[in-house]
Amino acid sequence: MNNMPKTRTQATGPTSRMDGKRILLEVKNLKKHFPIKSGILFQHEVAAVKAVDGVTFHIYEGETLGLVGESGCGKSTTGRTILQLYRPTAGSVKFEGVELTELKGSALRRMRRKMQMVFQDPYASLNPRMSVGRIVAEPLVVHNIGTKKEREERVAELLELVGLNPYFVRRYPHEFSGGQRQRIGLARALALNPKFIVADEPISALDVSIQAQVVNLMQELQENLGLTYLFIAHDLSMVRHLCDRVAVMYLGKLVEVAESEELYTNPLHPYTQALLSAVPVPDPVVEETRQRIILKGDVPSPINPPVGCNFNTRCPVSVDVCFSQEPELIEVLPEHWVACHRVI
Amino acid sequence: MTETQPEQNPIVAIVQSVLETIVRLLGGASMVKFLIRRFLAAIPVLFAIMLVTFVLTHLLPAGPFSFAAGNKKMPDYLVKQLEEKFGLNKPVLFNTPNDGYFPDDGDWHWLPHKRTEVRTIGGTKQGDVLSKEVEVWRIDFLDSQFWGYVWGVLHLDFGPSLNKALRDQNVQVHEEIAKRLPVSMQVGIFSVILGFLLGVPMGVLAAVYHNTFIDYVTMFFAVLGQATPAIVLAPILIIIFAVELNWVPVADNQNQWQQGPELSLYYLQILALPVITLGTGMSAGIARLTRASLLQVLHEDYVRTARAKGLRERVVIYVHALKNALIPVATILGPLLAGVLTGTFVVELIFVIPGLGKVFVESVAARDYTMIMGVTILYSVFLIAGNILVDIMYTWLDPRIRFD
Amino acid sequence: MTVAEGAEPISLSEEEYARSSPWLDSWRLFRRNKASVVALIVLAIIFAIAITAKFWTHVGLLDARTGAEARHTINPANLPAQDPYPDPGICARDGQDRNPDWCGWIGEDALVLVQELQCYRPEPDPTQRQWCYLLGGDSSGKDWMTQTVYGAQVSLAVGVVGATMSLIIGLIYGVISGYYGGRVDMVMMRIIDFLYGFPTLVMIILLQVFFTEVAREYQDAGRKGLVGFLLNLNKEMGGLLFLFIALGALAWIGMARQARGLVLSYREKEFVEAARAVGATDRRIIFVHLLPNVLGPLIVLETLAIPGYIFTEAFLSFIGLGVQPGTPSWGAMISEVRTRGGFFSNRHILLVPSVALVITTLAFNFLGDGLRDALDPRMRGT
Repeated sequence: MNNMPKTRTQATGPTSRMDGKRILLEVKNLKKHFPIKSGILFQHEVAAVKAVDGVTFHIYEGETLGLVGESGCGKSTTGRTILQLYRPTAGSVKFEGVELTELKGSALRRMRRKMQMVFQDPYASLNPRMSVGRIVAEPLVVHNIGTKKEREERVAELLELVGLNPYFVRRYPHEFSGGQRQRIGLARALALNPKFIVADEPISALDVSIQAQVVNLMQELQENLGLTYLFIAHDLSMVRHLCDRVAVMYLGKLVEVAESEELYTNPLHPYTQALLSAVPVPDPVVEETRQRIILKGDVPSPINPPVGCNFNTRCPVSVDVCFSQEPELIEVLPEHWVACHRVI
Repeated sequence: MTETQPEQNPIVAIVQSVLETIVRLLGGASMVKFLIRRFLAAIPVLFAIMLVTFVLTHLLPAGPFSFAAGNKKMPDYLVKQLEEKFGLNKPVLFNTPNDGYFPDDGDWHWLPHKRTEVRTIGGTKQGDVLSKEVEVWRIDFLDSQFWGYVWGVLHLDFGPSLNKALRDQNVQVHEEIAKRLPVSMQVGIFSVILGFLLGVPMGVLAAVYHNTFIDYVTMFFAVLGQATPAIVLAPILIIIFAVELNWVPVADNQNQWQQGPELSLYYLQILALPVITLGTGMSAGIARLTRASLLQVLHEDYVRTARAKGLRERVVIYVHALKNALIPVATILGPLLAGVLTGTFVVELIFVIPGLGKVFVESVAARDYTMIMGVTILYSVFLIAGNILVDIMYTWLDPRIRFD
Repeated sequence: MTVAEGAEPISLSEEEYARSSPWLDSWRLFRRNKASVVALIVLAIIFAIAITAKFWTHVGLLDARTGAEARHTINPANLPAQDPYPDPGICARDGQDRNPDWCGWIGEDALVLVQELQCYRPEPDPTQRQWCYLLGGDSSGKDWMTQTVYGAQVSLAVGVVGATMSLIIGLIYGVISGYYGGRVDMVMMRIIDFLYGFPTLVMIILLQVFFTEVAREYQDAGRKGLVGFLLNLNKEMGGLLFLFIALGALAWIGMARQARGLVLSYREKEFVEAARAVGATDRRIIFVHLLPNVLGPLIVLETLAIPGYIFTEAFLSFIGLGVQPGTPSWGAMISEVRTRGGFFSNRHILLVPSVALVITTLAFNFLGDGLRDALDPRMRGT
């Protein structure tokens, strides 16, 4: 029987977060292809959806990395593949120096204690036939931690931590609002006292008024518990508010990674520029002069991505080389990485 | 195409355009591909059904020749003669050298080989047997009852019936089925028609008067109809209409079933009870489906729009809603038609209708192997065809569904 | 910590909260459907009567002779001396001395005039004792009420066992196929497609003929081992064992398909992914997360399938391929009335098994409807 995890309180303050710059998670050339099958009697693979097609980045301990992009660009798949919920087709994921893609069975299960996930849909992410207490205690039960009584205490502690009344343990998910369900999901993710949490659009299904509450809660938890987030989102203004660094994804690949302020003030990739031009600015003077860059065409199919730079079908500044050669993600400014032939 | 090859055969062009029209009518190339796939998939299914049925029937104790008329056992030499005549002396599944069956030891080959055989082709009144020698390709390993039967089926030859009364007249299975199938079909098809004629209006009525007394009464009768099996309904109908009121005969005594449909009072009389028995059961399901489907459609936006336009309620329901509501109802036709044959089973036995169901039960009792096989294969073909029909109907009626 | 301020109020009273769980909610929804509550009560009564049949026989309300035994020649004049069975029948006002003992509990006025009832008289001899059956009897001297009660045992057993067997087989098959997916799923689904082409009724008839013929052949052979054990057990059960096997061999196919579909839809739900993210094993995901969610809709489907199993048994018994001859069964009773020309005379006894059959299947239909409202959230309101 394992010992009950105690909620750590962060020794170092939030200001010192970026100084140490210890890399917690390192993703190299990660690929996830989903096979498409067909056949008369017995099916065989005929093509593959290249949901994630060679993604490289890292996350520093204690920071929040935002992962943004249009729906269907592979952000969620990236998050799930990092956590090994989908086994990657190729590439490496190193967490605290441990290669996750090679782990199996109980070794992988042990690593899962350190990394958790918060899901997008607060209605689908909680089992309707389990009480809140059982849902939050599930990670403890799975890892065989503590006695029944200790688990109950831990659940109460966790519920309090996410701002829910511990009295709710016997209730069932359908009795809660979306925001409260998302808190339950957070409590479940925190049960094992993880270091790293993948938040897969945790607020996009919520009302705007509730969104701020959940984001604030996540920030507070980060400060108090020293968590590291991979925050997947398509709401750019929320990402700016929450994230230390932001990675922009397009059609299974990263196009730009930079520190939050840097990216928003100095976007280099034409796709990032187009994305940011669509965000309304709360200043009427600036808003007046805001020029929207309208991208032509649709996102190409991830089954058959374009040759060369995969943005070349819609890029307003593309040149010949973009149609033949794939741009690499290069650090053009300190901590500012871009994958574009036109930037260098 | 025609520009580059100006002297293209006009017949080829016509055939091409006809084929294209057929493909279009069937619902496009993906549909044709889907159909081909389904038909190909049906072949192993049919083979498996044949194998299972064949083994099962041959495992039954006793054989077609151990039952003689009047429970008198046939003399052994006669049985042997008959078995040889109908090939029942062969091994059931495979002919191995150890079976002791033809050809004689030593002449048995694994590989297909050519062989001279003596075939009887006739005789004279004087008692001379006319025979000739023929060269045939044979695979000794597959010279068994089952593979012989499969070979026959591939040639659409379902063999002679082994039932006493029929085998004496050399009746072939397909002839007997051709005689009995129309009888079953009469009952089945008229029942389906009655089911729709009764069920759809009942369902519409219940949906239009949703949550009123009419709805409850209609739906209660629908559930009652579903809960009343033919073996309950049929005897009650017989007692009321045949015995008490004497409106209809209890059973056909003029051989009308085999003469087929005609517009006469007698035909209607013998048709009435079996069709009512089956049709009411079907109408119950159809009514419930129609009601559910219409209720759903009545809540759709386009119906609300039609209402908002100020159309009369009757127009809204019968013109706008009903057409779409009947789509799922029409798809029940597939399983209904597939089930028609097995559905008539009960009714045929109770009303003494000389259809397939009756033949099947009789042939099981008489160990008429070939007839059992023939009827089972027919049922399976109907079932598979019915299942495919459902899928086709879905695409025809609902353009959103596509098979890829 | 100030995070608690984000909590939103819950609009449930304390009392409601204390008693709220998915199963309780389902029960509340079920109770709202009055027809299915009535159906549940009716079924409970039918089950109770069928299970306690032995007791009623013991008390004397039912004839102890079921099946073939009842076809003995009755010599009522000296019956009590010869016949070890308790009297069938009712408490009669005329000839109270021949009433069973328990009739003493009933007041004089409540006793029935025998003449008003359907009485069976073996021979038109007034000196012979009358046999009175509440629901009449058939020409061979069987008490129709006894037959109906014991027939209920058969029908309910077929319904319940058929449903349970197909639920278990279908669930295991569907869960394995749906959860593990991939090549396993492909092969398993091909097998199902395969079996879908089988004409069920024809196959069941062939299987039943096979079973009954084999049973007859080995009846006196004194077979040992598993075959002998099964044959004996089947005989003990009046032919029901083989009926279960024949039904179960084919009934699970549709259920497996449904179970697989449900598992597929729930497997992709985020709560299953969440369980996997915390490191739950496949076994835990299947038993804790999938089964409780999949079970509800499947129970509904099975309840609605029960009338089908009951019909199949009744039909098979009707054509003589169901239970062993002599075992009471509603289908066999209807067949008996028919073969003995009962459509023309004494016809009201036909109503007894018919009404019993319709009431039972009707009740299962209504129960299924109510369960659907309660257990299958997808179907709510249709």
